[in-house]
Amino acid sequence: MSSSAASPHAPFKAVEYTIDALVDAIADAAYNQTTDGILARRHAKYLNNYLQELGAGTIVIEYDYVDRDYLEDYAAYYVRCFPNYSRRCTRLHFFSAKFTHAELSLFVAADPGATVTAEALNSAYLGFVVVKPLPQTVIGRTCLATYSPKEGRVFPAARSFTAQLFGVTLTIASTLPFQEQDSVVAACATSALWSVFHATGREFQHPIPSPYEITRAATHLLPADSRAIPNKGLTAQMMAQAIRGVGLEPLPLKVGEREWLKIELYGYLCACLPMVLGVDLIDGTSATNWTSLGRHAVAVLGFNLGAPATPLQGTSLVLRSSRMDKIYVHDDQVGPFARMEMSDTDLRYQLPGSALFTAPSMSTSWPSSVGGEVRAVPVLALAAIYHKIRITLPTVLERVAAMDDFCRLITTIAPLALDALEWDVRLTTVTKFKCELRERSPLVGPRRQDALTRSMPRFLWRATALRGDTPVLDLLFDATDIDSGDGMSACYAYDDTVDSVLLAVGNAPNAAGISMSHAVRQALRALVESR
Amino acid sequence: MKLQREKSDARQIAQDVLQWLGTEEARQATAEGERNLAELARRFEQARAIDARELHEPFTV
Repeated sequence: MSSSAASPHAPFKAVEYTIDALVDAIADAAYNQTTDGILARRHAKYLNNYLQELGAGTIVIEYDYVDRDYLEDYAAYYVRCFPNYSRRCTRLHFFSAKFTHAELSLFVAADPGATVTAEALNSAYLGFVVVKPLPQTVIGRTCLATYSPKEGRVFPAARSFTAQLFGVTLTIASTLPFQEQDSVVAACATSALWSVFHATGREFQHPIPSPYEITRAATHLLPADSRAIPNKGLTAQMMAQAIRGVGLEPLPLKVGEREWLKIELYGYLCACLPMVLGVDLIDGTSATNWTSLGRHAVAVLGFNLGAPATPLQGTSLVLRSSRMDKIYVHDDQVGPFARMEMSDTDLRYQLPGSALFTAPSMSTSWPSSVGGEVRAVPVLALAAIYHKIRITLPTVLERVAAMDDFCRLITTIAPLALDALEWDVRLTTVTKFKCELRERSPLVGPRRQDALTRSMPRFLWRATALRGDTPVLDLLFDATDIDSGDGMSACYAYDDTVDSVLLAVGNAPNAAGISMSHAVRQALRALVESR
Repeated sequence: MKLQREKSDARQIAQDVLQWLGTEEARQATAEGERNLAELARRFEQARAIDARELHEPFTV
């Protein structure tokens, strides 16, 4: 047990990674906390499992660490509390390599006999956890590497972050900051927004507010019935206000249908934009009544494509997003990159005094209090987007569906193999599109030159038709246009036969008697113009 | 009926497709596709319409 009012420690300590070492380090940094108290909370167990999966070998404890986010919260709230909470934190760094405190000390002192090197530290770096000097909610800014790459598992919203330790720049190639709510200046929604803003801040160059600043921005125009600080939660409307506070536009999305949840998450996450997902948490079993635990918000950062592709209900349009079977979220009550598995079938559940509900649901890592499981029923998703992104997914999907229909139709009479396409529909930018095209596209000659040199809007919806994993066709829609506008920026066919056929049709779209939809005409016109 | 052409006959395939797109069969298929798309657009709108109450209930857990 310790009070962090003053730091009696040496500047750092390196210890072998074990769960005991992790819990001791957290308890030592917290305010009047015991190891049992830390172990009783689910974060320590979750972090231990996660770090073991990453292969943690050594913890370097950096005492007396100034964390900007905590300092903002401290200045706004904790400094006026009667207990003497410290304004300094402790940062725990994790490395996959094993080295001793003595070996690290030799490196810091630049001793000629040092075996640890800056390069070795950097390549073994797994990330850090800031421990706040508070009594209960101690897990502050946490940047840990994502799970290792695996077929189908992607974290599009994660990006590289660096940390400085003893003059060494340590890089985490793929992460996004996480922290648990302190239930004072931040509830779950604030923590989720805080993580989202770390990605949008990089993408759209806006300052990243601290949890306190987010809660203030969310509530100053929309005061809750109770006081804003200590904060007990935000509504979607308040979250939208916080998003406007950083200069972005909130886009609330209904995700009560399983396929729409997947479509929206896939479309925006692939543009490196994490989303806040609001869920109803329910606890129970199929044999008992379910109990509502309340509404919870998490930040969605990644997904797994492990399910077979299926057509969008009532259509023959097959989207790559339909393969999504798991999502990875920063759940402030669980930990970073927590897995939530989507169920294939709707959950039938009844809450006390309520009617029977049928809804899609996902697994969670929350412990059940009745020996069953805690499931999450999606309520809404909230994206924070740049104001120039105006065209939404349904508008794009309608046009993609028209093109898919046309491809099927002409395959009934010609050997083009366009009758089983899978469409990858995502938001992107002209920069990303051109980089991907230059690095990976089979496009050559004048069409490649056109694609790389053509002036295009900054934001694009990209719909790639795939035959297996081979791209056949790319439709690019101007995401900055208006719904009633042309919207089509470019169209490229990667298969020469398909290109020749579509070009011939595109060159004669207005010939007497030729029937095709407006969306297809627009796509073919763009294809003709691309040479 | 699918025409049996080699993939290398791209120009001939294009002519076949163009010719077929002018037939009554193609017109009917396109018209049906348009109706399906209109229904799809309606369904999209319905599936994504947010109940205003959802925006006012706090996330507190």
